[in-house]
Amino acid sequence: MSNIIEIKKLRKVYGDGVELLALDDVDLTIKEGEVLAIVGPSGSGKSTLLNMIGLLDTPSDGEIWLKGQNITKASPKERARLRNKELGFIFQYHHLLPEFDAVENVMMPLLIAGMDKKEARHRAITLLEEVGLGDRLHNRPNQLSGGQNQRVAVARALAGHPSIVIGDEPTGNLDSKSSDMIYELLRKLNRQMNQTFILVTHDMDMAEKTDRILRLVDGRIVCEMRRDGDGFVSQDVCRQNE
Amino acid sequence: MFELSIAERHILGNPRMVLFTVLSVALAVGVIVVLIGLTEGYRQNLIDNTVENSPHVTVDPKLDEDYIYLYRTLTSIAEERPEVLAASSRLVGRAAAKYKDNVEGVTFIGADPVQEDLLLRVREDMIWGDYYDLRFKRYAAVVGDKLAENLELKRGDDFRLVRQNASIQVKAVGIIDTRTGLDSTLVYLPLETAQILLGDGDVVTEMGIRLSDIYAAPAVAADLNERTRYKAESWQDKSRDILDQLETQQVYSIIFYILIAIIAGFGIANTMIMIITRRTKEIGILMAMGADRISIMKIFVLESVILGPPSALLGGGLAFVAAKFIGTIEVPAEIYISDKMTVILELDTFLYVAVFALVVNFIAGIYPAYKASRLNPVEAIATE
Repeated sequence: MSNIIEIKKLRKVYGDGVELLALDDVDLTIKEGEVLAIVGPSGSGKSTLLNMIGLLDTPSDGEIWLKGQNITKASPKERARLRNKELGFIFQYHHLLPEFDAVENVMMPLLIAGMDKKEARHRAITLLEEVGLGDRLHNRPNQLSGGQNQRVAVARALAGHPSIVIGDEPTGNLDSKSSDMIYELLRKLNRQMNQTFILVTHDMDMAEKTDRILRLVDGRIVCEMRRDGDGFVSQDVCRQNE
Repeated sequence: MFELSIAERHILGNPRMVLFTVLSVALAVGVIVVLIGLTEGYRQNLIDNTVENSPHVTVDPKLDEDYIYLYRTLTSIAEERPEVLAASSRLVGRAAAKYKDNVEGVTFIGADPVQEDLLLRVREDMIWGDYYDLRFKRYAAVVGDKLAENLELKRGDDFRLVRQNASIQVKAVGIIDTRTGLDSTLVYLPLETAQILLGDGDVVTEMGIRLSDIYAAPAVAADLNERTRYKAESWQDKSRDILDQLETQQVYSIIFYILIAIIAGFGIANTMIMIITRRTKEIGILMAMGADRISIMKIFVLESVILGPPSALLGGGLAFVAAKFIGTIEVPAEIYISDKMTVILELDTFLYVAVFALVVNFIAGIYPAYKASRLNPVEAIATE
């Protein structure tokens, strides 16, 4: 498996005056098709790291490579293009456009990419059927439950065949039954399409179902655990921290 | 174009805010259309009035002379022009009118009644008697109604006209109401009678010319100036001052329109900023999905511009209704030039103002849209 993301000595400093170090010399390599969970306390820099990988934010220092290309200093236009082609986002709240129905929401990234409307609609309907919402195609977000909306959001994140899907607490706002359903859905799609999933979560149950868990504290990766069969193998450093 | 469909949904999703924005621009459009219409109406009334009640071309004596001596020759020169409908040689002078113990200063106009009637439609203004009587009765006069009232002159009464050492007795054979200030001083006489009163022989003081095409007046005047040494002047030259004044007023009006546009523009910009503030999170999401800055900007400029046509349409409708209403208001003719205010609405005005509404919407939308396109996606998504 080739590296899809390489992060080298990434630093992010917020604020002028009182400076806050959100990420401190983070090195990270993510392989294609991997499902990765990032955990850690609030304010540990999880979301900041995710926003860097998602090209929504720019680092203060260090480099980000996507598919072998250094995109640290890419222009806003190029970043927008990469977000559209290579990345799919799932947020804690579904963040669907309220005036558009399920199909239209899923079509949106495809229309932004310049796809023909008819083709986009066809793709959106297929995806919604796949996430089990074939009978809710024309409902707007306010006519759907939290779990249903999050499934629409998953379909939207996957619409453009992104190579990386980023989830910021994707199940954080759902009950455990809906959470499981969403995670199973992601996992199924991961197996089908070999997409890379990077999930920030508080939910250790979900984290333990992934391939690798990164623990962030104060902007540093303090622990990394890899799946080995049914259990996880942690590095020495984790034991020291624990 | 996904930008258009998003813009469309935003507009349909905020009906009340949109209604007020449309109304503010519509009001601006309406006010401007009505004001342009009123100015145009005033200008048109003024021209009609000038053109109807005074000669289209006036010929005055040569520079160093008091009278036109060879007025018959001048008449035949003038009548060579095909546009000339009438050329009336007129002797205009001042005298005193005396009836019993009443004395009033008067302006007498001696002219051939047929030509003078062709020139100024005198007979249409007669309230009693016939102006043509002056053709056959040498010592007859048509008197302004106010003058007759002031002199306590009755129909058919004889009164005296006195000028320096000359004095003639004439009979009031008609009363005229021109609905102008002239009515308190005007006395029409046969040309020969006026010449006797003046005592300077067979002369006139001016010639009035009426044309079939009022806009040919400058050309006719120029032609006469070239061919004779008399001083010919078109009605446009005579009313130059007031027309210039209207032009000046136009400049003030334009400044006023710009101010209205700016106020309306701020209204739109304000609404757009409110919409964008409410949509900040959504803008962040669109950015996360890969919408670039140009697309975000397009969405909100489109939103603003889409509101232009309904504003123009509604504003046009309002202007139309207002114009109809203003047209029914009666105003004293002494203040205004006629007893009804006229609003002239031309299709051109509507078109210009529609374009104006679009431009105002476009310009007002640019800044908020630009701000939206510059949002930081992380902060935008985190907005509550």
